[in-house]
Amino acid sequence: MKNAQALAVLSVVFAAGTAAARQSDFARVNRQAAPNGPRPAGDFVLASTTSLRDTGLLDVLVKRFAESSGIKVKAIAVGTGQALALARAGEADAVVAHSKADEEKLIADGYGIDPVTLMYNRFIVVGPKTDPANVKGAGTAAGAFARIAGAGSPFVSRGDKSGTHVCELAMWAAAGVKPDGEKWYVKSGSGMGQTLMIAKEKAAYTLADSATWGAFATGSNLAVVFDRGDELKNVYRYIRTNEAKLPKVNAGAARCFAQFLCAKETMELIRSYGADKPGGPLFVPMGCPENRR
Amino acid sequence: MLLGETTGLSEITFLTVRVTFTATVIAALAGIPLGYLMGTHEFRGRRIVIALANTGMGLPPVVVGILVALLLSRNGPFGAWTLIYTPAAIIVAQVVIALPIIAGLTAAGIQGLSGDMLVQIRAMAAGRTRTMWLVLREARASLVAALLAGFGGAVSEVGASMMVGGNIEGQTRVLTTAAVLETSKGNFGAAIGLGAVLLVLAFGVNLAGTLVQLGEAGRG
Repeated sequence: MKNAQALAVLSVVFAAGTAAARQSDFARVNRQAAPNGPRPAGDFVLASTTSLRDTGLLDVLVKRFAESSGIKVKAIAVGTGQALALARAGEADAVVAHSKADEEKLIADGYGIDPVTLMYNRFIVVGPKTDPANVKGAGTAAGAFARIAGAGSPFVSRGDKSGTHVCELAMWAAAGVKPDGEKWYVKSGSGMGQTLMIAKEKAAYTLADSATWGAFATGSNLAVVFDRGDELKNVYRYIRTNEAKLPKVNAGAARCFAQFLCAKETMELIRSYGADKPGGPLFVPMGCPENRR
Repeated sequence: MLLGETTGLSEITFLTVRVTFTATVIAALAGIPLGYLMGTHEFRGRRIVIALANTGMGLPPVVVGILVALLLSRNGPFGAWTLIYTPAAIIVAQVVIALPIIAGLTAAGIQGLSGDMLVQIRAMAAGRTRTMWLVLREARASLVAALLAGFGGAVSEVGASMMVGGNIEGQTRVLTTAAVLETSKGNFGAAIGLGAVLLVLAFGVNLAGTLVQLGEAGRG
């Protein structure tokens, strides 16, 4: 019989772990979304870009909305390309993105409706403090990219179809440079944080959003080398998924969230968000001008 | 402190424990009998099943994540169950990851028993359930190892949890996905802290398992 205790003890270990977790309030909340239950009417899937989540603002907004509305929000942070694909497939009820051309395509194809302009921050070109390509002397963003290519200085690209990557590609096009396949052009295929890490290790240039850069700036061998001009404005918009085209989407919750985002109090929250962080405040609210037309 | 910037650390840890223990138990309930069959019985296609289980032991979690996400997503075949982006979805993915590990190692452990012993057990045991029980008891050290390996595979994966759970704060954020998040935020200190919690958790479970193994060996 002693031998049987081996399995018995082990199952007790498992059971204890499971039971301990069950006791927490948190687990109770999670069980509400547990298997086999009907989909709660208010369940709301929001696809957002990673850059927004990485600043922490997404979690703050979602938490406040969930508290005030009682709607259960599932905010999924993925690259802009994937976020828009989730909206197009009807897997997300709404999307927050920062890649205008791709957003316009979603809207033109009839999958996205009622876009509202929420806020912006800035893209910045960061590079080695020594600035070997003399990017600081450039007059325009396109000029800055042309100088990097001209000098053949290492450049780390996100390479992940994120909003930042899309902006970077537009800058290369404006500079008349085709960086693909060049020795100095590195595609990281990862998020902004990791891309900045790689740029730091390789003493390379990269395009970053100002919010993520804020977390990296201290103690880095990199510095902002270019940050002027409207081309580098990073505008975030909220777009609902069209329930006429994708009947499974939760249009009611998506409308509620739009109202919440555009409310004066939310815009004030965005204005002050991150004011205590390096490089903050992180966003400039734009107040949904579409609603005033 | 390292973990100062991580909100809800205890919730994240509890969820990780709850999800991974549940997944390991489910995978064990299916995997141990399966491993027993693979290890003791001759049946058509046995070699293929064993080869599949061994392949499954190296299943990339990202691939599991993509497949489970396709099955569970709103417009997928099981979309009506609304499991995507819930802890249950992570459990499903982790069962898929842990099951072949547990089944494969259980089978290997049973095959490692001496043939004489199996003959002896078959001779003295009455009934299939009794035989299975005795064989598994002889292979108990391997079973513990199989469970620990299954648990390790499930608790350490990040690709599938990220994809089917969505890393939602307060709902599906587990230790590994939280660590990835903190890395992408640039909070390397917090990411290392989360990694440390994960290691402590894994060590605790392995220590308990090892003690069970050693204690049994001493008595046997």
